[in-house]
Amino acid sequence: MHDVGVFLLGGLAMGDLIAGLFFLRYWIVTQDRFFLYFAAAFAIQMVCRMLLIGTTANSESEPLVYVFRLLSYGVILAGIFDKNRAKIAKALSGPP
Amino acid sequence: MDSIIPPDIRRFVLDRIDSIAELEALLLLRNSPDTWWEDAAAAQRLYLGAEQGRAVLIRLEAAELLISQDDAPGRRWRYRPQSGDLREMVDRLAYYYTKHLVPVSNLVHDKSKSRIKEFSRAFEFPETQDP
Amino acid sequence: MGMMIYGLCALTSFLCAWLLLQAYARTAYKLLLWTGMFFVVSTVNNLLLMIDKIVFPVTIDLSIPRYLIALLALGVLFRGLIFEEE
Repeated sequence: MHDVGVFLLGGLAMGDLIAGLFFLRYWIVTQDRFFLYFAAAFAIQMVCRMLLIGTTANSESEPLVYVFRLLSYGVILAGIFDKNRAKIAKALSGPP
Repeated sequence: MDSIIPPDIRRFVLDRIDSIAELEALLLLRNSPDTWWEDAAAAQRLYLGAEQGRAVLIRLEAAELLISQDDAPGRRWRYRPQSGDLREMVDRLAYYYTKHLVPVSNLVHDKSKSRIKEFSRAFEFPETQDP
Repeated sequence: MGMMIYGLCALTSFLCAWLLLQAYARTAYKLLLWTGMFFVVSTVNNLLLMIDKIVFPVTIDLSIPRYLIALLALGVLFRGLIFEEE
């Protein structure tokens, strides 16, 4: 059962890599920085899954590994924030 | 600009119209709904070669907007949307095409360009309204 | 601590799903549907992660189902990225 988990994680890591490469390509094509955030998010996810392969035997360190997952989603949030920087600044400074 | 065309019209165009040529062909046949158009005549009116004209008409038939009959050596075509809903969609589309040419043209043209920018745009927060 | 991490992950993927599916409702671009669905399935995955690690940490191990769901999410994403873009 452990092997099945490792196998699936390997497949998922591969999938994350491919998705990341898609978004990298979109960034190159569109020059829109937003896609770079997603590419990074998937790259971090891939690292996360690879680390999980190493820790499936030792579940003590698993929560630490999931910090990577948090980082991945954090990068996505950063991208959304970056995209809407001007609007957020305007909203925060209040109506005239 | 994006919101001028209603979502159901957008969906109709995205599903069934692949090019400006198809749109023009559809409206051409719609203008004389009781006329059977021969391949060659339609293609000529649309400033298309015979092959291209035929391809456009075939796609419109596949989109359930035209019907055709054998008319050796070619085929002849007629405006016939397969449902009342489709007919209404085309009527409304014709209206928007005449009143808002640029947005409708852009909608059709954008189909052949990369759609991926829409992914990026989806994450833009709406403009805050000034009170 | 774990709950915060997993909860934030679930919230973020939910936000992404929400934004993308709203945009799909507005524009009817299928790419937005598939990428939105990727985040929907990812949200489910994150919720299952919470259940797996916090609610039933010892009694049940949901890792295999979670990984399969994550694969499903990627499948949906690839469906969108490969087939819906010119």
